[in-house]
Order: sequence, then C-alpha cells, then structure tokens
Amino acid sequence: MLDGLTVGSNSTPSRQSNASFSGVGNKMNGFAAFEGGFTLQDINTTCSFDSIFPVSGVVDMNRGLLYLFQDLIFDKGILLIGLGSIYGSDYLVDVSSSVTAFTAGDTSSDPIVLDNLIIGLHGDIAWQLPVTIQGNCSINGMGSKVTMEGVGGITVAAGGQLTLSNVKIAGLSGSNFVCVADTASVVVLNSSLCLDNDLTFANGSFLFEGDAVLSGTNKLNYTSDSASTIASNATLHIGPGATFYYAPSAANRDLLAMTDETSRLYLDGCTLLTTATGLRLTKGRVFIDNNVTFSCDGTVPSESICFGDGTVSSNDVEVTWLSGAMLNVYGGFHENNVG
Amino acid sequence: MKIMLDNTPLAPSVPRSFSAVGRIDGAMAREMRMIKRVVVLLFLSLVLVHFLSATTVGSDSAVSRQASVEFPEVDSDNEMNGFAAFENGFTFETADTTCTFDSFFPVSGTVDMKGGALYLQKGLKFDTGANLINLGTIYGNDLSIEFSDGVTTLTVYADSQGGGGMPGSWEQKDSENLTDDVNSVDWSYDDNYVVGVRNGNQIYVYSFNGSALTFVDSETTYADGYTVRSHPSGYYFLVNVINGYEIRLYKLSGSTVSRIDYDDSNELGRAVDWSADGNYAVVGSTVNVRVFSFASESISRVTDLNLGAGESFSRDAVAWDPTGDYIAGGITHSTASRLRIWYFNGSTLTAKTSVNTGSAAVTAVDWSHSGNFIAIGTNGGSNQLRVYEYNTSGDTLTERESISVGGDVLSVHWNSDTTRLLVGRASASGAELMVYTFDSGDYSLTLDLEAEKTTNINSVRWSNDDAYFAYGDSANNLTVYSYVPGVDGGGGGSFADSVLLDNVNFIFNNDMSWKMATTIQGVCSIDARDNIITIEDTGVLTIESGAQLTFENAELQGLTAQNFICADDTVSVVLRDCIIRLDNDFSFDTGSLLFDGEVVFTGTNKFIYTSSQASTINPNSTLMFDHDTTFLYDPSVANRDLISMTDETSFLYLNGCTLHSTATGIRLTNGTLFLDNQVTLSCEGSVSSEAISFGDGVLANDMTIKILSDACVDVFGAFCYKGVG
Repeated sequence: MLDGLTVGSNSTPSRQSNASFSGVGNKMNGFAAFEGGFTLQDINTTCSFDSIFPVSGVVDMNRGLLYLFQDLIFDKGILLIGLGSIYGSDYLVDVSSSVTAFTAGDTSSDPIVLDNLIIGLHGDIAWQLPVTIQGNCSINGMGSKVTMEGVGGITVAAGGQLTLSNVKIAGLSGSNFVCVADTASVVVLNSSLCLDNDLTFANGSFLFEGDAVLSGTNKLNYTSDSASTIASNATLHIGPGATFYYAPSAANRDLLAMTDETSRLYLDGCTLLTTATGLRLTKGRVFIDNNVTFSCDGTVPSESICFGDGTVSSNDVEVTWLSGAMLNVYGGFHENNVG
Repeated sequence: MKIMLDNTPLAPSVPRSFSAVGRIDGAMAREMRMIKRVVVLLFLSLVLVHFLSATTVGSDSAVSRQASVEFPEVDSDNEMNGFAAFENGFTFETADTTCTFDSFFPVSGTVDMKGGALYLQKGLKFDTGANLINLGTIYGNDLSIEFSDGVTTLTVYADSQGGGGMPGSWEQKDSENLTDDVNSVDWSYDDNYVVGVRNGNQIYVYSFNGSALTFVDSETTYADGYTVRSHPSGYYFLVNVINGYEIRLYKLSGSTVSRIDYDDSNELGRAVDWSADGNYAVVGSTVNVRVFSFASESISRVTDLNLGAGESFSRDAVAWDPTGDYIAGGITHSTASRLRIWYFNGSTLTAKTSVNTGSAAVTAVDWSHSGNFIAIGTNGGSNQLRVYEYNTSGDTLTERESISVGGDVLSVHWNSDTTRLLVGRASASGAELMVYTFDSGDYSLTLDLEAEKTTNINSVRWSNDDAYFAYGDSANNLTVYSYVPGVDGGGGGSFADSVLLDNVNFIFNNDMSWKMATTIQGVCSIDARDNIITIEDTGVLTIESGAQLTFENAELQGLTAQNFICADDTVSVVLRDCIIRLDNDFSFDTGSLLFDGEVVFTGTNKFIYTSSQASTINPNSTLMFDHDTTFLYDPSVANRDLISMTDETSFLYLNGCTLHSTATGIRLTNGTLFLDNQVTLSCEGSVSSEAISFGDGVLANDMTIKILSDACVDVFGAFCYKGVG
C-alpha cells in the first residue's frame, strides 16, 4: 500500500476488488466501480471518493477520513464494517437496506465527524458510534428508524444544523442527542424523537416542521436558552406518556415559539411541565387530547403556563379540545388570550 | 465459453508441417493422418464453439451503448456486462433463455424476456421510456428491479413470434373417421351440427353437444364432395362435387339429410358460399362466377360472369363480404393467379379490382365479418398467408400482411370479430393447423397456437360462436376442437405461463396490473410507492414454503383466495403501509401476516382469516378496518389468540366495520383498540370462552380501548371484557 494511491481512472472504466488505502491523499477515481468495497487502514488515512458508481462489497473506514466528490451509494448487499469521518460537500451517502448498523468497529467514545453530508436510509439503523455533526447535515430516513445504542449518539457542533427527515430517532437518553452550542440546531421534519429515557437538551434549538412527534414515556428536559419553533403548517405532537419539561437556563418563558395560526402543538395524553420560569405560547393552536397534565412550578401568572400574551389578539392561542380530553392543571396556568 | 458480439473470427492454426515438405512416405502418411485429425478436431471444435457459444454483451473495462440485443436460448451463460448501457433494451429468444445482468446502467428501449430467466448481479432500473413487453423469472440475489412509470403491466408469455400476451388454448373434443379424404366442413347456423363432405360421394352430418360428435345422417353426393357451406339461418347445405356439374342443395330435417334441389350446370364447380342474409349463394367454377337466389328451399340462377382465359376457381376459394355486395374469389392460373373482387347489385355481377399473385394459385379465401379484410392462402410463393384490405370506394386491394406458414395453404377462416384467423395447410414439415391472432390496428398476424398433424388440413371453419372449430383432413378425419382465446398479442411456440421471483425486490413508479402467474421464493418485496397494484384475471401470486413477501406503500386490489396463495404455514406476508381494497371476499387461509405501519382494509366485502397461524400487529402500527368491511375471524384451528398485538402501540382501528367471529371466539390483548362510527361486534359463540374478548384477565395484557366521539357499537353474541386495570 502506498500513500497517495489513486485507484481507477477518469477515462476508462474498471471494476475494482477491495481497494485498500493508507496514509493521506488517496483517491477513488470517477470510473472505478468499487464492487469489492474499500478499506481505509486507520484513523490517519484520508481518501477522496470521486466514483460515479455504487459501492458494494466490504467497506471498512477504520475511522479514517473520506472526502466526497460524488454521491456515495452503498449498494444492496454491502457489508459496512466500520465508518469514519466524512466530509460530504453536500453530497449524499445513500445507505442500502443491507446496512443495519453504523459503527466504527470499536467501542471508543471518540466521535467521528460528518460534515455537510446528506444521509439517505433505506432500512432501520442501529447507531452505535458517537458522531459530531458539522455544517449542514441531514438524515433522510424514508420511514426508517435509527436507534441509539451503546456509545452511539449525535452531537451537533457549533454552527451546525442537523435535519431529521422522515425518520424515527429512538434510544434517546441522557445526553446522546445534543447541540454543543446555541448556534447549533436540529430540524425535525416529519420525524419523531422517541424518549427511551430522559433526555436533556441544553443548548441550541429545534425547528419542528411537518408532523413532528415526541414520543415515549420519558422526559425531554429543555434547558436550552435558545428558542425552538413550530413552523407554519407544522405540528408538534407530544404523545401519550411523554413529558416536555421546559426548564431553560435563562429566565425566558417564550422559548417555544409558534410561527402563526397554522402552527400546532398537539398535546396527546402527555405532560407539559415547567419550572417557575413558566412557558408562554402564542399565535398557534393547541390541541388537547386524552389525559393531559399541565404542571408548573410557578405560582403567579408571570411564571405560569400561559396561552396568549394578553396584548395582541394575533398572538392568541386557539385551544381545541378533542373528545376524551381531560386536562389536569397543577401550579400556575394563565389563559391570557385577548380575543 | 464466450464470444464477444464483435465476433472476431477464430483462426484455426494449421500445423506448419502440412505445407513444409513434399515427400510421401510412411512418416508423412502418419503425419497427414494426424493433420486430418487435427483439422477434423478444429472443425468440430468450431462447430461446438458455435453451438455452445454464449452472448456476452459489453465489457468490464470499456463503456458501450448497446443496440437492442437478443440473447439466444442455446447458451447457458449469456451476460450483460458492467459498462454496457442497454439503451435499446434486450430480448430473450425463448422462455428457456437465461442471462445474467451485471450492468451499472439503467435499461431503456424494449425489453422482452419472454418468460426466460434473468440473474441479477446488479440492481436493474428500467429507465423512463422503457417498454417492458414480457417479464421472466428473476433470481434477484437480494437486489432490486425498479420499474419506470411507463411500465404499468407485468405479464409473461414468450414465443419465437414475439409474444405480447397470453396464448389461447385449445383442446380436441372429438373426431370422426369418414373413411376417405374430408375435403370440406362447416357448422350449422346454430352450431348444433357439423357437416362434412368427402371423397367417396358422401355428405355427413353430426350433431355436436360441446364435447362430442354424434352421427346423424349421411347422403350421397353422387361424386366426391368438394365443398360444403351451411346456410346462415337454416339447416341447408350447398355442395359442390369434384368432376361433377351439379350444385346440390341438401336439407337436414330431423335426423335425415336429403337433397332438395340442384342445378345442373355445365361448369365444374369449385367453391360455394352463402350471402350473409342467406338469400343468395355464389358458386365459383372452372369457367365463371355465378350467383343463385335461394327461396322456398330452391336455388335459381341470377347472373354469372366468365373468368379470364386459363382462370379457374380454387377449391373453397370464394367468399361474400358481410354486406352481400361484394364477392372475393381465389383464382388459379398458370402464370397470373389472382384474388378477384366482384360487385353484385342484386341482379348483375361487375368485375372489380384484383391482385396478381403470379404462379402462386390463390387456394383459399375468406372475407372478414367485420371490416374489409380478406385473408387468402396460396399454393406456392414465399409468403403463403396474406391479408388484404379492400377499399370499396376506391376499389383498391391493399396488402396488409403476408407471412410464410411453411407450406401451401388450403383453407382460411376468420372468427366473428376478425381477431383470429384459422389456417389449414398442406402436409409439410412443421404444423399444418394454426390459429393466428390478427391486430386490425397494425395488421399483424401473430401465431397463437399450432399443431403438426402430418396430413393435409383441407378445410377449417370456426363455429359461429368462435368457441370451437372443425377441420377436415386427408387422414379421413372430421375433427372438432374447443378454443379459448388468450390475451391479445399472444404468439405460439414454447411459452412460459408463469415466472419465479426469487429474492428480489420490485419497486413501482406507477399503478401496476399484475397479469402473470408468479411464484415467490425466498425473501421478496414489492414497494409500490403509493401506487395501486391490481391482480388481474390472469395474475396469481403463489408464495412458496418458507418464503416471505412484503408489500410496502401499496394499494392492493383484486385479491382473492384463488390468486393469492400461500403454499403452507411457513409462509409469511408483511403488509407495510398498505391499503387492501376488498373487491371480493378475501380468505387468508394459510401462513401468517405481519401488519406494519398503517394497514387499512377498505371496500364492502370480507377479509376472512382462516389460517391456523398467528398474525401480528407490530408496535407503532395500525390495522384499520374501514367503513363497511368485515373482519371475519374463522381460523381453521380452535385458537382465539391468532391476532397478536405486540404492545400498546399496536392499534386495531375498527371504523364503521364489522368484527365477526365464529364460535372459536377472538381474544385481543396488549394493544389499543379504537372504535369509531358504527361498529358491529358479532360472535357466534355463546359462552365467554367463545366470545370476542378484550384482555385475558392478566393486567400486563390489558387492552386499551378508545371509543371515539361518533362511535356506536352493536354487540351480537358473546362479548367479554376481561381488562384488569
């Protein structure tokens, strides 16, 4: 094996058996079909992927670094042994249903980096390695489920944004799904976050788009002092048994914003819990279904769970009670609509 | 052994010693013998190479854009290589052709697998514009075939003629030996009788009941019977005889056939036909064409017109058009045989146009019942079967189709809607009896069915309802077949009437009509991408033992117990985010179901669960029975726990439907039940152990029941709520 190895050509096609790279400056060229997969020898190996063909066979990146200059399509039947860092340049890694786990091949808690990368899934994935998201990345699940296992987790770096699209994220627990800074954000688009244990979200923000779901029977501790938003024509559905615990580190009760009257918060047999900071919802619609609990540590209106801001009717919250709804209120609750 | 398509010649290497020395001695003789052996071996090896050669298209090291490729049946290792782009599709020679697909590129153009087998080494994507004629067996190797939105039908049928549908089928029903050549046959107007004339001066009448011929009567024809035609509305039969000058009219009355009239002409009759209304008959002879009127059970001359010098009608080669205005005749001439057209205005004949077929005598003629298509057969010529179209206003005959049938044609006959052409020909290598499909759009004749009879098929005639045909042959037989048409476009020859799908995943991008009998093996899936899959009349899905079939994102319709078959209880079917439209009652009697995502049964019929195996609603999944559907739980074993709900996120949503159970009862646990709109719970059981039961008395297994605001539940028979919590 040589440093700076170039496999394949940009003018003559070829079918490659497993290509092994070490060192830096390696390259997989345009018309090489890596049917036998490829191997990056170690964490210090770097390689550029510029092939127009899908990759099959055995892929082991050994935490090495891959730069994408084309979409990387993992073909059906591929055996993905270990991932590495991927600088995607907005290209796609399309993961066939043959891949069932994202792992680095070890149990290290050192993260790999996914930078400006789109991940397309075609089956459920066991996410078994820590990942740092840089730049704008997205996971398009196409209905798949991603389950955090072991040391698996996602950390969105400062300035980074992760978009979850049509995917269910399960196994959320503790701090395995975090933003490291308030400049980081997570877009939840037609996706669900399933709380297997309490999860603390201490930095950054959410943007809920489409039908976003918070499910499970545990708590999302929202301690960030950044505002999260339910977008227009979007619904945040907090499912039965789930608790949204609003406990921002800053004394700001307006950190769950609803963009307009088409923004919907669907409280379905869940608990909305706040510290004495309170939580003020404005503009959108709130649906109450089944047995819902409001629990607030505050005792005065300014510390309460509050609908509307009492000043502008356009900030009123429209509340819809569904059949079978029952609301238990503990602590401060203030219906402060103008209209 | 493979040969590239560029067919670089294989140069046999000749030993140098062959031309080296001119001496003739013992050593040289031995050398010469050796050389001969080598040459013979080389020759044989070349022949063998040709015989065994595979077609490998494309390269693994150079890209290419391929013209349409046909892969031969004879090879066992045809292959489409990695960097070949099949932009113009590919075809298989026959249903026995096999090929490996290993190309990286999408396929466009026309693809006709004719039921042959394709082994995937790469996923196969049909590009936009791909035209899939027939599919074949797919060994998928867990790979996918993605069908472009232009592919809306999956069918299979293959033959050397092009395929394109399912073939017709035929079955011999009965055959009678008339002890001499049967020269002509016909059906009575009501298809209750079959009449035949033979050498040996006899006309025979048989009754036919759909399965057997029964002799009714026979009568002398005073000379060898040559042609016979049955009147369109009565039991009258007009007969020409060989070397006789009479046209003879026979009548069947009860069980007696008798001659009731004749015309003693001076010409040798060759062909006869009735007008469609039965008021006239035309007789073609060796001299002229003559029209008779028919009334009061007698025939009378109306008019005649002489043929040209040297011209004579061929046997059986005259036909009226359906209007009664035109007559087509097949003429024999030594150098200028013709198809001739005459116009008949009720009193006189006028010669119209003709086409010259040279020395190939026009030996058979029939005018279609619809349209103005005239089929002819010839004696000689390279294409013995032809179809012309007659334009009455322009008085033109246009040849629309001409094909070789491998021998001289003796008889042709259209069916009633001009979609099938029955052909009999003289004995020669290959089939003598054929049915062709005819496409009046593109005028194509496609072989549907054929049979080798090793004798002359002298005369062929469809029954009036097209369900049968009769033929007479030179082996003395009058024979009747039944005929069931296939799907239009079918051909003959070897065909595959089913395909195997093995470990393959289908992806659809449009609604799909499933018309092929299909066996599922291994683990297969079909992702319809929210399109409709319709199981058509010819479509069958049989899931083999141990196999799993997954439907995803599909609306399924047309399912019945007859077209959706699980081989045994090891079969599993996964429904993921599907709608099952119950066009009919659908019984699921074998194997198990897994409901995943949102699965909805709609329609107004029953889903009948008769399997002995447990089926499951997955977590985070909903099984909904929508308005007016019925879920009938009727397992073949006494087990009321065969619908399993994994946990509380497994939803059974009964929305304006009926849940009916036999006395086995049904017990639901663990999940969540939604009741919405008018729901009926009906159980044939009368005690709690036979009831529809929610919960089993164990807290952990309690059902959550949600009765929605508009719900109204009617309960008939035993119902038991056994929730603990």
